[in-house]
Amino acid sequence: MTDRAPTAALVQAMAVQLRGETLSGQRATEVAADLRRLASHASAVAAENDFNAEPGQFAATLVHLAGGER
Amino acid sequence: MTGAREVLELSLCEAAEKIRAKEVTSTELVRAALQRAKQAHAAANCFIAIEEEDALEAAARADEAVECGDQLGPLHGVPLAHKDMFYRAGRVTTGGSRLLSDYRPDATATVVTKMEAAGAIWLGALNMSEFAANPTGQNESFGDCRNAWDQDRISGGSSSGSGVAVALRACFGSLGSDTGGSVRLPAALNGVVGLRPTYGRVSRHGILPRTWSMDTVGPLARTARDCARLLAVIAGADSNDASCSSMKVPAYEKQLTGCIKGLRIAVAVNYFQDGAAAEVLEGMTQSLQVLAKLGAEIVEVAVPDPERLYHLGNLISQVEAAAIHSDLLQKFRDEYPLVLKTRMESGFYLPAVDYLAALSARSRLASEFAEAVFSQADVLHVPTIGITAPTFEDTSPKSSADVFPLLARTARNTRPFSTIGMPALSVPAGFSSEGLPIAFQLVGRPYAEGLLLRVADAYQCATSWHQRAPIN
Repeated sequence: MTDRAPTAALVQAMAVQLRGETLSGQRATEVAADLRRLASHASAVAAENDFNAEPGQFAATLVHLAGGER
Repeated sequence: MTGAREVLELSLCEAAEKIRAKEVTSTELVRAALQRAKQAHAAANCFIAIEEEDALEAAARADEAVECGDQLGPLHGVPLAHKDMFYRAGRVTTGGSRLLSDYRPDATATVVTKMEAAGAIWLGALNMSEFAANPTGQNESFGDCRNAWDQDRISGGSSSGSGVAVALRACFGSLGSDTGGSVRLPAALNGVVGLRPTYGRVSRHGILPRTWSMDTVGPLARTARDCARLLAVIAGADSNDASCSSMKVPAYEKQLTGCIKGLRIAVAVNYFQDGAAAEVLEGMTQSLQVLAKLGAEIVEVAVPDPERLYHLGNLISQVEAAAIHSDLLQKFRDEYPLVLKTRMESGFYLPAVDYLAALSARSRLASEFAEAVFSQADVLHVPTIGITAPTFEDTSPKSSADVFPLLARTARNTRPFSTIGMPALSVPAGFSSEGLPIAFQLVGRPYAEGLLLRVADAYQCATSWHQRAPIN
């Protein structure tokens, strides 16, 4: 997961095939770099997530953490 | 009361009390505010629509209710305004974009309904970043909203008009929305108080979405007490918004005891002061000295990896914005603002498992943050933003490559708390040598808005920064 490296060419291909859009080489390079950054952050937290972690827990966690106001 | 200028210097709570006591009429207040709103708009472009006729009619009805001895709500007759993304059924809501210039939602935002039931008078719809997506507040559709203190500088955003109109005394308070800092940044850069409530404290029903998982609605006003009054009106459960908590809404104003003796206020030893201007850091030191004099104990804490929280918030926001704007972007790609287009583009191509990993991590990250910070302290104190308002020249991206560095300069201290849903309050803390506002941010446990407001109110009772006006 951590060494995923989408290329500009892949981004351009996805843009055309998934969105019907043409991205310039420069823009595709920027998006590819951004995707690499995002993927590295996602991979890092995914590795630390418990098997039972799920987005729906968040609201309950906030209520749970609310205790202790002085 | 005497002149229009004098009544506009009242706080929201004072204005409401004077209407109730028949010392001033709502019509007098609304007329004065409308006049000021027009001046403010001419100077700073802070409104998208000023609704003069509707406001005066509502004020006349409010005055009639006072004369009839009707039961009056906590905002009765007070002129207020909201960012142009709160739906009112059948009325145009632009979201700050010309692409929505004919958009008339069927629904009315729950917070609008609550404010009206409390007696609020709407002066109009306030300027904002297009689709609530630019922390500088700049807007290609309706023109940039300009800073209340220096019109060559940015207002901050995305709730740009909400901060500027309050600072310029065009209204007694306003509503904004905060996803990654959109209430706190314009509050900080224009010298007013702005609250991002806990995620789920205030209904999001009937507001233009920016990032479902992080959007909040929050008040801006000149004082913490005014924000407390507004929050008490808009907070609480809503059957139209499943993310909205049913936790009891406290009587926030009653929590403003003026006493913070014994409270522990944490200063972050990492991240939040990195790269901050010397004058901002000096403002932080001075504000902590005031709080210490009031009896607070200042402690140091290390905040767990705020940079990670910043980037995860960015990830979530990119994907959700892509989903929200997908169709509209395909139709109007060339008309989309550069900042939003750039910010969401990667969201179309990021694997869903990455997005869900980020969302799933939030509970753990919020718990880790709370354990690290709130086991040591009651609130955290950091700069809202490490710089004073930059010029338009400094913040206008020339190309997509400029966008993310710009976002990092502006929202780096606000977005980490958005990612984990914590409440955060921006409080005016002085002025730079150029006369530009400086602000600190108080962050608390979930649903600790009352505590944040209590600290800010005590600070404002001991200082006068919030009384300075950008107009003579």
